[in-house]
Amino acid sequence: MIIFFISHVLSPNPAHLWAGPRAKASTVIAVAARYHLNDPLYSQFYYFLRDLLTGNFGIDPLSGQPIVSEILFYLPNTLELVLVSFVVLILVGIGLGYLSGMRFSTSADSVIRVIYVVSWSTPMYLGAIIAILVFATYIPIFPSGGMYSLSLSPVQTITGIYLLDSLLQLNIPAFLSGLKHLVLPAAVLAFVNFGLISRAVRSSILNVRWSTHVKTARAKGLSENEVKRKHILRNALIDATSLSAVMFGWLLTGTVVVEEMFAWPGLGQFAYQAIYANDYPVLIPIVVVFTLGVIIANFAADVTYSLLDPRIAMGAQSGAVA
Amino acid sequence: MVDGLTQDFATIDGRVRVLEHVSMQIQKGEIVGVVGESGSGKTTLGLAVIGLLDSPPADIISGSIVFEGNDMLKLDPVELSRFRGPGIGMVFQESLAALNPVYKTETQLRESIEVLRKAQKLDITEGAERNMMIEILKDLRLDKPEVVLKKYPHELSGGMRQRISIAMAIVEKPRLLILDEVTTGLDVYVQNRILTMLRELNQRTRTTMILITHDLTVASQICDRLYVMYAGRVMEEGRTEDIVNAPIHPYTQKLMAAIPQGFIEAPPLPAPTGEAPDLRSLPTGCKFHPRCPFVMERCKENEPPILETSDGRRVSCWLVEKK
Amino acid sequence: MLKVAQSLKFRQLILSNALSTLGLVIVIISVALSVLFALFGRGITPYDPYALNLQQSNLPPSISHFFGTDFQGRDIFSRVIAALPIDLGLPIAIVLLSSLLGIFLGMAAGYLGGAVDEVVMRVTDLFLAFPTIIMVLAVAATLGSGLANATLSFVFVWWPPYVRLVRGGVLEVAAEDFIAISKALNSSFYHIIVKGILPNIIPSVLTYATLDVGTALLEVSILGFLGVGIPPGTPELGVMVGSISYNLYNYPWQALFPAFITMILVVGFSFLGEGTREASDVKVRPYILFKGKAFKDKAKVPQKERLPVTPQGVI
Repeated sequence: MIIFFISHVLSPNPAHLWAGPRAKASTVIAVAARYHLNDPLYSQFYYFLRDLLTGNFGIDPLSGQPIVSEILFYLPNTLELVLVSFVVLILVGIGLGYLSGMRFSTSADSVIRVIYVVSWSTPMYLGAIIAILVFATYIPIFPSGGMYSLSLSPVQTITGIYLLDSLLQLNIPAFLSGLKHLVLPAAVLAFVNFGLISRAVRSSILNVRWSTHVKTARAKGLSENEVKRKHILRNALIDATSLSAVMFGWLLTGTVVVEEMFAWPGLGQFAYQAIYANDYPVLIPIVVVFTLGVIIANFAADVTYSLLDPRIAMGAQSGAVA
Repeated sequence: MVDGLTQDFATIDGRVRVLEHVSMQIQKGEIVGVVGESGSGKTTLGLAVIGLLDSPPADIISGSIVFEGNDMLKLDPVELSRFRGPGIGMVFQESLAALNPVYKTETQLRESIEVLRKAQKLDITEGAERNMMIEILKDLRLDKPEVVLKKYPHELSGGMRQRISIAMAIVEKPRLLILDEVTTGLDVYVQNRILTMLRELNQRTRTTMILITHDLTVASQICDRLYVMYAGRVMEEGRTEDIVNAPIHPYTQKLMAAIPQGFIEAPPLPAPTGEAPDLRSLPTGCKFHPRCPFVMERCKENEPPILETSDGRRVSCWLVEKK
Repeated sequence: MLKVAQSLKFRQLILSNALSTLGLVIVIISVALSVLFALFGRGITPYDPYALNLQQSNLPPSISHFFGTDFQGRDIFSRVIAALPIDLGLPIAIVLLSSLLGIFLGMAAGYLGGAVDEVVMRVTDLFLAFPTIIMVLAVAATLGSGLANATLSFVFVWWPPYVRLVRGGVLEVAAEDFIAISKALNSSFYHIIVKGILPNIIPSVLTYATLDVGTALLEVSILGFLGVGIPPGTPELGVMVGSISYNLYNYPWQALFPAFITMILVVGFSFLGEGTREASDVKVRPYILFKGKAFKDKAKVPQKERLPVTPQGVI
């Protein structure tokens, strides 16, 4: 917990410091005064913290809107994309990893290994490019950009997540449109990342399947299916699950590229454009949000690991009962 | 019955012969001991009988294993698995590794009971299940069974874990029980309790047992007959009293001589010379000849088969032929 | 004990796997090319990778221009070759520096333990929280662009996994008996660490590092793609893709070629890394060897005379 707070507090700090000297180089003194950039360091930090905790991020110099509302607007879209990718990624990743691990040394294993290596080796932009070119341009099945078709009547914003909102209002054409637009970006995001999960699952399975407790389970006379499910899979998934939590963090940061390529109006695209335009007041809060996301993801990973593996949580208690 | 079992193992150095022409006959209700140092092949033998050898890297080249009239090596995996549990049970050596670390004791015991239930098509309620678990833990002389049931394997001592492993196997009422080094690493007191309990079980239920150990004293306590193994071969077999009182094979003699006889004024124990052979580079002829005090020329060239003495003892040694 | 004797078999194991051999080949070829380019520059490329030739811009792939030309008329094939030293050099430098730092800190934490361990691990955890984005900003804002700066900002976030890895390895090895024996024999500090501990953690670090080069390469190219940290004109695979990302549909090859080459490079390192990893895993080795032909030949049972034994009461 302490680590959580320390890193949370300290990590935006350097970014803030860096923004200081850079912005000073600009000649917009009014802006400098506005952001307290001429003040000594500790008071800058103070203002920063204060703003952070009250949710006041200031105004976006480019658009004139309060940054908070911009972030809040884009965030659900990113969440929508990331959540769907995450689900696909987990299913495919674990499935392939399991197959590969159980069929070790067979041709199936080799094929799957090639697939997952290619998966994580592909730069995100390549995946996006191929997806767009193949599926949107040459074989126009899926739209190549945007989140939903603009020709439809707008959907009221309830949760901010387009799919949910349209579903909740039983607006089926909108829902379908949203779905169609979601397929490619989510697929790309999932494809580029599932490889790591597969490899982790495969390696866990290889570690477990020949172990003594699996032999014990077989010696008890359990059916092979039961053995696989309750002993091999269950034990192998401990590592994989906590890795998935970390993956969630990776997906978040991956949205920068993917959203930009698919013109998906989410936090990632917002970040990309801010980078492009050197828009620092916007970038810092975005960075904070992303870091927060990654920290939460890592934290969730640690928690799930200790939940799933009883040996971890109870480090102190390894003594005997009698 | 195991007949002429020969089995190889794939290691980084190539094919290693782990068992060669091993044969055993076991009567129903007997307790048979398989004694040998590490590397003698005894664990592999146990795994082979229950059919749990991982097929790469192990490779059974010849021989057969017959249980209740079935040639186990010819069965397909599904049929084979039906024999495990209520037919043949096995308890493994390293109790911490043998138990699944993420499940509580009670879950793992319950698994065993479930197998029993399905095999005998019994109807056991939850309450009855719990009682069974507590009963069996009490039989094994575990204190506070209710507490133990709720614990995870890493929270228990080695002795308790070993007894739980045994419990899981026994609960299914196997007809043949294979125990691999179940007393190793435990203090003598616990060892004793386990052995006593095993003998009681055998007398009560006529469960046939194969006790695999490197410790002759342990084996001699409860086994009816013994097989002494060395370098993957059976060196001597016979009734326990016979072997202990009058070991014929030089290796058995050395094992017996190395057992401390108590605090009497005895000369220092004769330590067996040499080391257990590396299975990758075995000597020619009789595998024990480099360490044998009675070695003859013949021993270096030809490996002795199992020969029978005039009084019916079976040993694999050229010395016996002369008699 | 020391696994020095295994190194011969190690090589045999890596090559036994077709995929990892392929990886090795890819890596060797690309490293060779980049070294050649670093030495001879334009000498080995068909065209000058830097020369602008606006009349020849945006040409599709052809015999004279294997990969076509970009929007400034530069031959893409030549630029790809020119990009190799950067796209290999940067990640390798990053991994090298990070691993050295990580080894140093990890050994300190693992071997010295106590307060040192605590401090090092807390700092490591802290740095682990940084996503790549932060590093992106660090580059742009603080140091200004430039390859050396880019490398440094990568290393800034790249080293924590090495500390964890090394520390874990050190803890494992330090608990082994031969270390206790060395200590009892009063071997010098240096002796224990360099001869005892180090050789045992090198394999796992090496495996991770190999795979890590691939990851670093991806990150570097993403930075290039975004136009951060790496100066825009540099021949770098990501930059080459980024510069055309808005005009994809008309000239797709300008992005596809560099992107594919990137992928192939990463795949090469990944296969090699996977091969190394499997070769180091003791449990898995027998299964690799089991497939070999030599194994099947020797399965013969020697003839043996046996006394006929009558089966008595069988179970």
